[in-house]
Amino acid sequence: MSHVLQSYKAAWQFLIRHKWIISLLYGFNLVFALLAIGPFNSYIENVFANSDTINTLANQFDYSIIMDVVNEYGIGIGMTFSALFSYFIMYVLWSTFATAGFLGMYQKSLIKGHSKIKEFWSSGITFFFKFLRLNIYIILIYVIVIALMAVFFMKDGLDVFKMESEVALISRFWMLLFLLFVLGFFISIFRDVARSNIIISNPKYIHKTNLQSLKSTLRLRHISLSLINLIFLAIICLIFYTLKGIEAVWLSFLISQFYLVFRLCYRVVRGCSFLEVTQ
Amino acid sequence: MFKIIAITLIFTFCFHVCSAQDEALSNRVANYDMDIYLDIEQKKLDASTQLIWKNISMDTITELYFHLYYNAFRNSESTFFKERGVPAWLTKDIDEECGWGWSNITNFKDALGNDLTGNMQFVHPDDDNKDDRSVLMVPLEIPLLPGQAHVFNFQWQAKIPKTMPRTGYNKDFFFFAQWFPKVGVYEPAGMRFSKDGQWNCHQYHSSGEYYADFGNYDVKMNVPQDFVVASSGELKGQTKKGDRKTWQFKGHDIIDFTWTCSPHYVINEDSYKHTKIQLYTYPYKDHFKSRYFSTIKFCMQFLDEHLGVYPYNTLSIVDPPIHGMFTGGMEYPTLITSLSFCFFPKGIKTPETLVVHEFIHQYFMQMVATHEVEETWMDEGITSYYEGRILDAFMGEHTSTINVLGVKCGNKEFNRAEFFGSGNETIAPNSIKSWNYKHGGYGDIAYNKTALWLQTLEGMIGLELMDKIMKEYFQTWKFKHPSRNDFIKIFNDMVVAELPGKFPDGMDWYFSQVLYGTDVCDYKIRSISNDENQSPRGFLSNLEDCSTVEDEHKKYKNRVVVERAEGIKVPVDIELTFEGGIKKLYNWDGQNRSYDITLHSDKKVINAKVDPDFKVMLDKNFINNSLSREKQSNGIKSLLKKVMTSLQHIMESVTLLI
Repeated sequence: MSHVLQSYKAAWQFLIRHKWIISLLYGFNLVFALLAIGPFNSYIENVFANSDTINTLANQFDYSIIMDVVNEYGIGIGMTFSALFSYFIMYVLWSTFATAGFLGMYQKSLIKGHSKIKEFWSSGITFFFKFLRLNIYIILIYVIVIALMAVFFMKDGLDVFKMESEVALISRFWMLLFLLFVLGFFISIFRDVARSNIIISNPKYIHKTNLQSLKSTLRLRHISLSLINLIFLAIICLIFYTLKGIEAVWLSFLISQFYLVFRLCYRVVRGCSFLEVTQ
Repeated sequence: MFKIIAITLIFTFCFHVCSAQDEALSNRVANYDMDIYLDIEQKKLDASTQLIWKNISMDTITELYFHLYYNAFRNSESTFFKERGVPAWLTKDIDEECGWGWSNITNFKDALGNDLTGNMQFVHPDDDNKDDRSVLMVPLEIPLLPGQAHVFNFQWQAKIPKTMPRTGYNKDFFFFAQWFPKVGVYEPAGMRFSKDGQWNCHQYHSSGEYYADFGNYDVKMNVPQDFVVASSGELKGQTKKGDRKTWQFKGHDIIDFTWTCSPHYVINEDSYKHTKIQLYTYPYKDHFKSRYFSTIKFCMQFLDEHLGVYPYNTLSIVDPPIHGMFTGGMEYPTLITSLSFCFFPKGIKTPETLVVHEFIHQYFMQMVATHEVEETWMDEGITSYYEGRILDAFMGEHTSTINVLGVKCGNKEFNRAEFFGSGNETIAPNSIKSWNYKHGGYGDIAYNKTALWLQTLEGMIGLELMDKIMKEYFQTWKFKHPSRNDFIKIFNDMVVAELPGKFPDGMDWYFSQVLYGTDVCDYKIRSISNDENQSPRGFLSNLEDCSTVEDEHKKYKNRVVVERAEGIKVPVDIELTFEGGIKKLYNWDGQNRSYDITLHSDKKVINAKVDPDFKVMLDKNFINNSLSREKQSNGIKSLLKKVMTSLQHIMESVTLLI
């Protein structure tokens, strides 16, 4: 357990020493969001620029106005969302690159005791495709899990006229949702262990390291480290949701940005602490 | 001679029976005494009916017309299924277990014992579909003279359909709606649209059911002993015999009779004034009872105060199980059905919406007995109008339909969005018969459009007068059969009397647009300009002095152009805001395609709004109702910040998963 805590602490120390990682991650997140919001901005300006209804919509969820937008100016919404989706894809690619970068950098610092910015970029380049492949596997795992769950959920059919009551269906839904969370917990451990093993051994093909990672997923140290990380995430989520009711626009914007920064910290610390504990 | 004496005796007896109840609320034309045997194995009803029918016209009646609604489910060739198509889920049921149903009168006799069975014939007054057997004509051997009432006895059987729209059985749940041979309405000359005396008895169409005479019902249902019966009317007794039980219900001054039974019903009770409210639900949905009772009591109080008293001693609310959801959300005299699923959170207000909507039908359909097939809007539309008012008053304007996870929507706005998002806004006028919505739009136009134009009407004449007129309409026409002309007449008379300056010619101009027309409505601010004022110049006062008259108090020439972008014309308010926040209100009759307000002032007009209070709910686009000189940058920035932070977090959440 002390090794786990030590790893967690070391990951934080690394992050504090290299605050620019967070600045970089945050900066890219902001840039992608700004780029993504561009078409939406033009759309909003086009529809609302001089109408008072924008103020209503900015202050509250207003179904009438939203539906008027959809009915009267709906053609632009589809285009706006396609643009958003393409930026989402690009952000995922960037995140894959960045994760490979900071993990490679941390690995170097564990070996050499220090690390350089250029190692972030070189590790990103070295491990990007391996991490991308791993991401695809993870997505496939989720698809398979969700498909199996859907099959189980619908095992007695969804014909309402054949059901005695909806109680069984709802119980099954909650049970599967819980199961999905549990599986998601272990899948994320597998992902972090697999990433660590890829960084450590830099294999030509990642299948072997994935199998090796799968075997060690259920180790107590991995589970406890994942729990520690999740507790941190839960605390920052709780703080954010407590502060969410603040109505001052700029203040609420700042709070949400801080929340985002802490979420980025969580991502870096989680990855780094798993890398150290997997060594 | 014998016949004359017998008929006179029968008439006297019938008149006595019809009047025997407490003070009659209606003319009690059609009175039924029925004994029903439910065979749950064969899915059949075995029944005998004694009908006492009163001829309240000045005509001699030589035949009776009956609705045999269950024959609409006899096969795929009925008018009902030809209009609707046989849905896939039903086809599946037909393959597995014959889900078709029928109704068959095996013996029909008049009071003198004349057997009329052989003369009966199916007729098809609406579409000449020979395969439709939903209307039966029975020629009489002894005609009914004006003012006479006759007794008719008939035995009949019905095969109960499975999961048909609004009626039938599934598993051990049974629901009997439009289930018994029901006499049509004889309309003497002058009643509604009738020029000569005529029977009004339409075939069963895919949409719309109600039009029937008032009467008293005494119904005994014999069902398995463990079944619980919920029904129209009041429970008068239960008799056990072997493994069967007979439930007796009596209803007075109602236009229909509906019942349901299941061994699983649990009953909860509450009351409002003299009315006992009973909720029939399944054990796993018992937790909805407080939602149902609080809502229905608010609704009853609202209608009591705004229209008039609910005169019946009972109200039964049935919340069917999931396999009986084909019967959910319907209205029957003193019995309504709702629909809920056990997992519905408080923020999903479907049970509340349904129970309010169906209860309002006790006023508009049951007491004010309009013709749902011929004038659907008078039934469903007026009900939808009150649904919005009651739910918004009870649960908040923006939260009365959905209030879950920050997604909020009120009933009125939901119905408005549903109408304008339907794509059916102009497909048909409001005045057509239900089966003439051949290409869609029945629900959108009959329900939502009516509610919107009633809300708009309320905006024009004011809530107070609207309430006064609707109360007058209800009080005048309760327990009668009004048509749209009667509705319009009351509005015209009262609007002219109360608002002679505003609407001296009444409201025909409005009804002709919204009832008979298909136009939509959109008023918009087209432009605002604030030019430097050009002072008067030239030879102003004589032919010698060429001068300029400066007026510092009229520095700007403000011009606001308002446009009527669609067809419907209504008067609208226009609110102008000047620099410094001063507001001025103008009124435009809304007749021309465009209108401008030109003002010379020392301040600029910075904002203009047409219909600033959103009184014209028929307006399809509220976004163009206002226009500012400057961009609403605060609103845009604020919205963009929200959207951007959401995007940032969503992007980060995606990377958290993979």
